[in-house]
Amino acid sequence: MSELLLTLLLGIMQAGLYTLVGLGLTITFGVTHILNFAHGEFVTIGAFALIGFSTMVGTAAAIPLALLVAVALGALVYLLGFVFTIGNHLQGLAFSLGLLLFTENIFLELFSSIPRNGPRVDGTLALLGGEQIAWSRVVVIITTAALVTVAAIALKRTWVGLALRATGDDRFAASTLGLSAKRVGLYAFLVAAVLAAVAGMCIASVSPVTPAIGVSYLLTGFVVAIIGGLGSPEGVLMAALLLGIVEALTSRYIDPSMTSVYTYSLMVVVLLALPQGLFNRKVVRAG
Amino acid sequence: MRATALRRSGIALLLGVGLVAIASAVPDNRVLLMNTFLAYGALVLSLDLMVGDLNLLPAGHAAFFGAGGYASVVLNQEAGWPLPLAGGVAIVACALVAAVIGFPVVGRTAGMSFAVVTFAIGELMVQIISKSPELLGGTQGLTVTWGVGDEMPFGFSIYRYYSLWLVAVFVMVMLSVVWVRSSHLGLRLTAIRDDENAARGLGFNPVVYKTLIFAIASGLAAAVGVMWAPMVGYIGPDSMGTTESIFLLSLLIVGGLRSVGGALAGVLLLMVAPLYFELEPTVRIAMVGGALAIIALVEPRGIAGLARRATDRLPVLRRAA
Repeated sequence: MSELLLTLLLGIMQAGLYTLVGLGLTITFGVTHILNFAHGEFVTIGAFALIGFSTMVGTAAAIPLALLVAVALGALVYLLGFVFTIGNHLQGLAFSLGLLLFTENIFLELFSSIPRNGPRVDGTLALLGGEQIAWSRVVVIITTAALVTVAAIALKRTWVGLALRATGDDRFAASTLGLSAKRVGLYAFLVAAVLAAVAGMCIASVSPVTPAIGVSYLLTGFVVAIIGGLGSPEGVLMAALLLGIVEALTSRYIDPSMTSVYTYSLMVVVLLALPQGLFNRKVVRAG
Repeated sequence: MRATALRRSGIALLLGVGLVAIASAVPDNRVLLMNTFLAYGALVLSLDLMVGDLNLLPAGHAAFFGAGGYASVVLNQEAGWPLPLAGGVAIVACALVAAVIGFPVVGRTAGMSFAVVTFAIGELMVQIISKSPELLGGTQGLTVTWGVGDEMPFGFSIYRYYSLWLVAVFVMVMLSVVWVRSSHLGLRLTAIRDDENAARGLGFNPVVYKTLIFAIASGLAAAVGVMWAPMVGYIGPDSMGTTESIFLLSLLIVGGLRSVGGALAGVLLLMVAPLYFELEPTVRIAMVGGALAIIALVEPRGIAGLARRATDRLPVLRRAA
């Protein structure tokens, strides 16, 4: 019983991280119709900024500094690059692919591929029935759950959230109401950068990180965004929960080395059955 | 139409003759570079059949390259078939497997969901290989024993001997691309790319053509793998992952879609030149990325687009063309 609870909690932790990455992808795609391959690099930036700043100024000050770096870089790549590619799928895709290859290898040169550890919350929490879960994982679960809730409410209730959804639903209609796609695109990139950077910081506080985490979380983020239906935030959450829990259960109860085989097979089956994703109302085709 | 196809095939064959001459004349330390150009050129051109002609974005092209290599090596070493037979069977088998897998995939998905399904299939192939250490060598990969210590024809080294085979594959890929593009099949592909429903209305089924092109392109990628594995004497799962497929896509986009010259220029500039100057892999790939990002902003049609702009500026060249 307790073993199942622990497995589910670990699955939910992974699902939370996938949701944060996938949400950013789906929001930027919904607004700008750019599939941002460089999105995963914000995860790397968040993780390494946290590690770097926490050795310099302590963890408490490192978190806002890391977020600031991610936001600044997000604004920079959008204003210098992506803003010119709005309206041309292939151009946006090519620019982000280039950015991905460039930044990933720059980070490899800067930080090397030796795994590093971020700041940890010490101690473990006893679950019902004797299993132990590390406090840092509990903190990650709470952080991601809170952030996903905040993001969901913000998308429904705040002005920026309404602007993002309106532009995602119909860019032309939104532009007649004074929401320029270029400006709303900037909001989308900033929100996405913050969500991904928080995911990166969470990852750094539970496991060793290398510059390659960006790409691996980018791929999972794509998977949940596309299985959920591109442009649909609720789809991302459902797909991430599905993926995270399937991963956790198969690695605990069947065979840890076969986890990726199950998840990739699940992806193929879901997409062949529902090519537009779980929650997509309209046909979205990029490319 | 036929005249164009014949003229272009003639150019491709002439280029092939030239490449054979170069392959037998390059100095020993540059043969591997030449082979890299031929292999990546053939892979990128075969990828362009899907990306340029059908707007399909596969994220698993390198997986079929690896599958071809593995299939021929296993047939040769485990089943004891002679290498040419093993290679031929491997190419045909990979094309058939691609057709069987591709039929439901192209029928059901398009755009990014196609990319994700092909990514998942490619990663599944990598996983299958990593999980079967006895037959396929697991994550360590397989060492190819064929030709080690044997005399090669014409007294060539094994690298130089395989240059000839790679030239053959390269010419085969170019001929396929030429014949697909300047034939009735090419017109149908253009129709499908531009408006799938209208193509359906004209009475041909897009799924059949997409499956056909997916199978041809994957078979050609497998052919490159068949020649590559015994040349370097090793095949491993790391050469067929998603990163490699994405890298191939980047080379293609930098070069320019639907342009043989552009694609080859992309390979020369971003794959061969950095290897020639012996840059570190991370620096090399970072350079590819930077070039791709800049080209995407300046000229979305890639090197081919830049060349077209240049010829438009120069009246002398325009008159000649």
